[in-house]
Amino acid sequence: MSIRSSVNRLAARIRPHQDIVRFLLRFGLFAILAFAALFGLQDQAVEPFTRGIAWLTYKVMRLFGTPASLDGVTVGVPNFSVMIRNNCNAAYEMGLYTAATLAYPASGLRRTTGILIALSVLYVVNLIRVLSLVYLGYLVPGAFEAAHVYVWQVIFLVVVAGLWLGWIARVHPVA
Amino acid sequence: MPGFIQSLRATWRTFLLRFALAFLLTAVAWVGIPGSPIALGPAFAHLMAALGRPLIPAIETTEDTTYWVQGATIYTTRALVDPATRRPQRFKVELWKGYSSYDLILFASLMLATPGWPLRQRLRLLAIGLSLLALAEFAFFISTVEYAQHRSLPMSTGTVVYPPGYSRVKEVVSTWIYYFFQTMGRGLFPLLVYVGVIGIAWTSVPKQATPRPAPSVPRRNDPCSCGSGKKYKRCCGKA
Repeated sequence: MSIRSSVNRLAARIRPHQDIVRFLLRFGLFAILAFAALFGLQDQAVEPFTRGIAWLTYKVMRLFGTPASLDGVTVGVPNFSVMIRNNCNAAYEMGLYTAATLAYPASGLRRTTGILIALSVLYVVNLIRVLSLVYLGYLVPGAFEAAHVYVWQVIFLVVVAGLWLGWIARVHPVA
Repeated sequence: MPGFIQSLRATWRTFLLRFALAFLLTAVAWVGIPGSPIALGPAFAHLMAALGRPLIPAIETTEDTTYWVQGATIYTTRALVDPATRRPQRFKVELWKGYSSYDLILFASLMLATPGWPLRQRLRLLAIGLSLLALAEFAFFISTVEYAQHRSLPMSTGTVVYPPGYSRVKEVVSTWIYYFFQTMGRGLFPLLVYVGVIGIAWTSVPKQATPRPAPSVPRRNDPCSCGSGKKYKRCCGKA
């Protein structure tokens, strides 16, 4: 009886927020599915994708005349090298954005457009992140760790959240 | 959500400025000012280790394994027999890095920067959100204890050494859980909690009553509103 009343009380408290609770559950579920897909396809999809980012970083650096070198997913400059791994390749952040977009009620077309645009933006922002971190390690090695662990990780998640909120504003314009 | 977005649209510049400032302050509070012993990161690592102490013996399968905190990092020393040399070796393994827990800083900065909340409500929501994230961090820490048992260690042969009787299923499950926290969880949990908090806070705002239209006063030559059929100036408006 007491369990039932507790459940009823909890349900009564959740009822006014059922839309957001439903969204959070869907977001969590889609994020788990996105993780499963990415982690399961690490060698087949994520690794080649990361190699592509490393190659592009190397090419851009060479274009600017920096004596960069490339070895798989490692981009090197004299006395410093960066190995691009998960969390630095934007793959999981892209999965997170996709999960949030799929969890929010909208038409399939709007979702697809939103995902395609946002993933392109995230790819470019990530390229800037990797480039800035390699140059920072090359020029100011002492600042690399703080920029890598705190500043860029947080900026990247804020960009993910900003893109998603911007997409919602487009989907449900508010007067 | 649309209500929050509307509010954010009007104040996004202030929001970003406040976020940058809040992030700077929380990051400094977490890591500490160089030379100062006061920092939240090491305190949080000690809290994680203290909470994990009663649970770890149920997870740990290798005897003579010790855990300790240094700075904001929790380490373990594992005693394993090298299969090549058959000699026991002790390995120091970095288990959980408090300084990498940027999810707490991110959430706190977002909460401090969000416009439109009174101080008391903001602090209450901040406390609830940080408690949830601390729970998630604790789950991550416990998953690292399990994961560390089959982690590749620098043996002379370079192979992984499993504790005796360690099951393959347990290895696969703990690896997936560990990497979920390590890769997706760092971003997912703060965003999930933040969206939940703003969603609930914004739907909790009582809806403003729609203002009643002002009672229309008939003009002098209009028919009177009492239904007498006379002009207003000759009926109710006479006085």
